Amino acid sequence: MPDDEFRAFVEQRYTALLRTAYLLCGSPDRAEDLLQAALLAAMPRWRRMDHPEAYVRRIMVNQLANSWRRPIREILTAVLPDRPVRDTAIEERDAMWVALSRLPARMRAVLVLRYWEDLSEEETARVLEVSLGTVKSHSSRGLARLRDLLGEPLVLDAGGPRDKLRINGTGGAR
Amino acid sequence: MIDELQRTLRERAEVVVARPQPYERLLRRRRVRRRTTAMTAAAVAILIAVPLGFKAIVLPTYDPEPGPPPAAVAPLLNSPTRGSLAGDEKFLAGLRERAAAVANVGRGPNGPHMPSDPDLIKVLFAGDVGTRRIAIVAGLDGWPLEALFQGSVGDDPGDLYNSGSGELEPVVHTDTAKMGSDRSETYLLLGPAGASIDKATSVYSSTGVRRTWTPVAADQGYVAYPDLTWRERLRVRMGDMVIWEGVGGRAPDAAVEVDPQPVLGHGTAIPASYAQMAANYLAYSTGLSGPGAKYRVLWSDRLTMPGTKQGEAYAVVVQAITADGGGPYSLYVFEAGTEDTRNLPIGNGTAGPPDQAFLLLRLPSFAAMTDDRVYAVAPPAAARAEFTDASGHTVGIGLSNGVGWLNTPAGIDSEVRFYDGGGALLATRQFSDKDRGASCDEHDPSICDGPISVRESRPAEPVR
Repeated sequence: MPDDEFRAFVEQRYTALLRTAYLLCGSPDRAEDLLQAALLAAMPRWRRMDHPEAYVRRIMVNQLANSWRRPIREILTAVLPDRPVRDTAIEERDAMWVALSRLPARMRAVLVLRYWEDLSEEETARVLEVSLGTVKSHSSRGLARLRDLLGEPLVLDAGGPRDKLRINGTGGAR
Repeated sequence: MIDELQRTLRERAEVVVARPQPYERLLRRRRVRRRTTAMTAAAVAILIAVPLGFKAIVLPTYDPEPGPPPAAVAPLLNSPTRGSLAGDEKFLAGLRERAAAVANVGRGPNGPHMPSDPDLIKVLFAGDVGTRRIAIVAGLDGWPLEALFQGSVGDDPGDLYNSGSGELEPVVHTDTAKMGSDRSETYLLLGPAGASIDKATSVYSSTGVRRTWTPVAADQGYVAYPDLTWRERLRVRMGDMVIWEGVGGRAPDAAVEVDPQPVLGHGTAIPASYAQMAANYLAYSTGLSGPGAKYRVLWSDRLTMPGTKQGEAYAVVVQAITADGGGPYSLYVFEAGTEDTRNLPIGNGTAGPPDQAFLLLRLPSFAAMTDDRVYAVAPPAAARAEFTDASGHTVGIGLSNGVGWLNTPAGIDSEVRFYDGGGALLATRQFSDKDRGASCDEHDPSICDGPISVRESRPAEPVR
């Protein structure tokens, strides 16, 4: 059964985990679905966990790797739309984001955990329940793949019809 | 590479905002899941008990709204397919099948949707614009989803890239998009058949924007620019009724003159490079650039800023100086030590010269939550500002040299009175956190008062 500690964990870590979920899946619409599913999986095991946050991260990565593009259940909405304004570097980072989205789920997860969560290789291996060697190879191959992709012609973040369901957009000012 | 990756991840993560009450929503979802599991188990039990042959049990992935689409989008859905491929039935059929298969991927259960039956999908536009092949499709029932596909001239439907989707609106407009080595800024504005399209020239002043509209050639209700490398303000009309107005294209980078020292001693000077960036952004936004374009800083300061690495940011309000001494202004906030910038749609407007400008500005946020600071920037004679909400509740703040701030959560709608040291009323202004939408003129929101609400226009006659 849920308890106050679990509730406190959810309320304190929700935004941080939601951001990780977004970086892992690349879709604001899916991020909350991913996180909530992981939290629901963690709920009955809560009392037996030493590192609940690592467990939630692992569940999210496994869900992505095993059931890519599962239909979503909830939609994330923004509060007030802050807009990053025009920045010539943004287009390059859009290219990086697109390139990141083309990596396999576990490879992307390694890069997110290493370079966003700032976990060590050992910690990343523990979270993902893989060997240290796997983390090292995913990390180096992931970076190499990003370099390759950034060198290729890419479909950049095309605007298209405005998507009312997405969160604050990034990109050029309009 | 790693620095760029980290910047990308940080920038993307920062915009993610969690809705309130995550724990309560989690429990709600758990209850729903339990009900769904029970219903699914019951359905499976019934199916097993019934001696019928079947290959698979397909459960619905979303719950589309039944019935006709909203009336506001009916003219567009009733229009013939436009574009150079409008007569290519094989291409259109392939496109409908593609849209039925992919356009709903990743979408939620309650939003607009694309029918899974290709016969319930309409191709609104299919054709080549410059070097691009562009196709726009939409559902014909319920709450229609619009999807944009694009690729290169000669591509088959299966080769096109699904580059965006969203609720269908009365007018479709594609933002610019780059594809691989093709750097062209393709732009398509598609109204219903019979629509007229105008473009504007804009003259800014202290009191707003005056526009002169000129018709553009659009005999089929649309315009397509293969490479829109300038900013164009456009509107779509059905007769005399304007059904859409907005901006397309991109202006070239603009470098303009600005003195980083804030006028009237408003705040403190920030590094000149930030004031210059702010002025360039405003010039880009308004098109007020070139020889003779002058800008000034109405207020700037170094502020604490949650969500930034150093915990600090530079805030600056810049104003373009027009012929009558006032002009459009914008508030930009830069994370200290970086070029990361934030600007709220409500942080823009037009004002008179500094000694007549009474500004109210919500600070943009770098954190998950909206910033709770609303700044008042007024002439130095203003010593006090009073915020009064609709219920008559009033909160006052003291102003130092005309500048002060109120801590208040997002969503306020207040009348604000400015008083001098002797208690005389100097000015009254309205402040609202309401964002009027992307199609509004950010410097003159009155232009887009009363936008068409697609959802409120339901229902329409059946569309085919």
